[in-house]
Amino acid sequence: MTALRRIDLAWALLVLLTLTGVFLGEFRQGGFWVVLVIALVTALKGRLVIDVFMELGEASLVLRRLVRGFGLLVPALILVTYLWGPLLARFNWLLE
Amino acid sequence: MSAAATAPASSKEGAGASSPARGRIPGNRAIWVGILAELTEFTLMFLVYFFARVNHPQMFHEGPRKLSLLAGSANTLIMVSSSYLVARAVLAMRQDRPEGALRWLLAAFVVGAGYPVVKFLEVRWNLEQGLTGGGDVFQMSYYYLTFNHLVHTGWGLLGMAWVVARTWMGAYDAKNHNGLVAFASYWHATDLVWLMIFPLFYVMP
Repeated sequence: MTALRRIDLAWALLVLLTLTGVFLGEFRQGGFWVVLVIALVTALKGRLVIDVFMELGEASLVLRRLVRGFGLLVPALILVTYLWGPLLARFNWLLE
Repeated sequence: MSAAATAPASSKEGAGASSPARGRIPGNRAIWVGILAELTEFTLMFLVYFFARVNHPQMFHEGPRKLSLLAGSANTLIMVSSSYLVARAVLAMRQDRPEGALRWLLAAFVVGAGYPVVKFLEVRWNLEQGLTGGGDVFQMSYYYLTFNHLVHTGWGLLGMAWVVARTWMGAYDAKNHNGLVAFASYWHATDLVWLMIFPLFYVMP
């Protein structure tokens, strides 16, 4: 695929995934599967920006890992805090 | 930050970073110090957000209802589109079409400038609804994170004005445009941060 087509496709996907998020936000249904979709959509959007727009897919390994790691942080924490929120809240005393 | 980092680019360009090569650092090292500082700052703020969220699940469950999903969605579309237009500008420059690059950059600036406008309208609407920075922990974290992001977008727009001027003056060509790529990297990083913020305050049930 040419660079041009990759960039155009990435933008189209980003718009589509954003509208998916808007749809989920509008209907505000809870539950594991909704939260999983939100996390996956967020991770995928991040990855598109990192690999296609920032062109880190083939850049310095250190930069690629750091920025891809950042792009996975929020999706991972969305899932972790959904699944184990009350358990994590029990560790507050560690910060006191 | 981006303006300062892009300034010396023209004198040091030609190091082979103008076309994608394996293992390269896009733009220049200085901008990546700024970008990694930005990502570190937001990593800490995200940790604070999730810490507050697990402790006050009810507030975070009800919080997004009070915010304007329309404003959040509009700014998401603005960020991804402005980011896309900047990527097209870099591509045009790489293909030795500086006039094309200038047009893409101007389009990116016009679209990107919509972000603070939407933000202004959103905050005005929030205040009318009684949503202030002195509200509950959801509202506080919302204002803290989104205002911080607004500041970074402001730097980005200033940086964009700088590269628009440099492109217009003919400072870049197909081989030497590290300054443009450095700015683009910062703008994409700011887009990336917003894509992480959006679900946390507008979408999560």
